[in-house]
Amino acid sequence: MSSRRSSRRAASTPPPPPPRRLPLLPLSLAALVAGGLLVAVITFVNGSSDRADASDLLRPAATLPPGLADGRSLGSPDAPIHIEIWEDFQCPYCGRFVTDIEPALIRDYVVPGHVRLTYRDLVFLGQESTDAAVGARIAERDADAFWEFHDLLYYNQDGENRGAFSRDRLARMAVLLGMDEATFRASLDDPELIAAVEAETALGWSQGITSTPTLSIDGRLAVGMPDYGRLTAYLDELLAGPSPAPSGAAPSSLLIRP
Amino acid sequence: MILFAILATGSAGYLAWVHLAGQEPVCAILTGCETVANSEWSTFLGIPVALFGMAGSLVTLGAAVLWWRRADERALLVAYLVGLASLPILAWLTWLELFVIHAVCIWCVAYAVMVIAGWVVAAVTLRRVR
Repeated sequence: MSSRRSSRRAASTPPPPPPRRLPLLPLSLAALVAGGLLVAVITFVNGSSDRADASDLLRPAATLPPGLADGRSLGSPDAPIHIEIWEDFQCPYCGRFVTDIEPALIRDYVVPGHVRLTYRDLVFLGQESTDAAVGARIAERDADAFWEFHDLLYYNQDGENRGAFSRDRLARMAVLLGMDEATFRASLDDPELIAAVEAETALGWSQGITSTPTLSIDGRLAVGMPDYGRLTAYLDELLAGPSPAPSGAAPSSLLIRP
Repeated sequence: MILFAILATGSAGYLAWVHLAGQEPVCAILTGCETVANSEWSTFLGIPVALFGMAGSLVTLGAAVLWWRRADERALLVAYLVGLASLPILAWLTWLELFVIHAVCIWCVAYAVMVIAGWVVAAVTLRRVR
C-alpha cells in the first residue's frame, strides 16, 4: 500500500527541471572584457606614476668619506679583497643594493681597508641605461665625481626608459655636481665613452655575467642581491684564511634565500 | 587540463619565487629572462605579476580537479572563463616583451603556452558537454 502511495506521489510530482545552464556567450564576452579591463588598469597604474622630470632629484644624505674614491673604484688598491660590482643603472635590484647594502659595506670593509670596490657596467636595459653609464663616465672624467653621479642615479631611479634618466635629467644631475651643462650634453654622444660602456658590457658577458647585480669577489661570482650578513661572513672568512681558488662561483649561501 | 595548469603554476611560481628572493631567473635557452624580470612591468602595485599569474593558474587547477573528480560543469566553466580572461592579458604581456622591453622570457612564454593549451582543452570539453 505504501508503495502504491509513493508511486502515486511520484506520478503526480513533476520531473525536476533540468539544471539551468548559464549562457556561454555573455559569460565569454564578460571574461574577455574583464581581462581587457585588467590590462587597462595595469597600464594606467604602471604608466601613470609620475614621469620623472629634472626638478625632483633626490640627493643621498650620506656622502663618501674624503679620499676614498679612486675613479670608478672605492678604497685602497692594497686591500686584500677586490669586489667588482656589475650593475645597470636602471636595474631596481642594483638600486636596492646601492641604498641598502653598499653603505654598510663601505663603512665596515672599504673604509678600514679590507675591501676595494670597483663599479662595472653591464648595460642591458635600454637607451637610458647607456646614457646613464656614459653620464657617469663623463662625471668621472670631467669632475672626478663618478661615485657622486652614481649615487644620484640610483637614488633617482623611476622605472625604465621613461624619463628617469632622460638627457635633460642627466644634465640636471651634472649641474648639481658643478659640471658644465653644455659640455656634459655634448659628451653624451662621445663615441669613445659609448664604446667604453659597450666594451665593458661585452667583457662582462664574456665572463659569464648575465644579470645584475653580480658581485665578482676576487673573481668568484655571486649573482643576485646578496644578504649582508652572509656577505660579511664570507668576507670575514676570506680575510681570516688563505685565498680560495680565484675563479668559479662564490658559495650560494651568500645570496638571499639561495 | 590539470597537467597544463600544474605546469603553468610551476612557471609562474618559479618567477614569483626568484623575484621575491631578489634573484634572477635562470634562462635555459634565451637570455632575456633577467631583462624581463628587472623590468618595471614585472610588478603591479609592488606585487610580482607572476604571483597574479600563479593565482590564476591555481584557480584553473582547482576547477580542473573539480571537473575531473565530480564532473561539475560549473568547474569546467570556471576553467574556461579564467583561461579566456587570461588571453588579452597574455597577449598584452607578450606584446610588452617584444616591443617595449625588447626581451623574451622563456618562463613567461612557457606559462602563456600552458594557459592557452589548458583553455583550448576546457573550451573543447565544454563544447562537447553542452
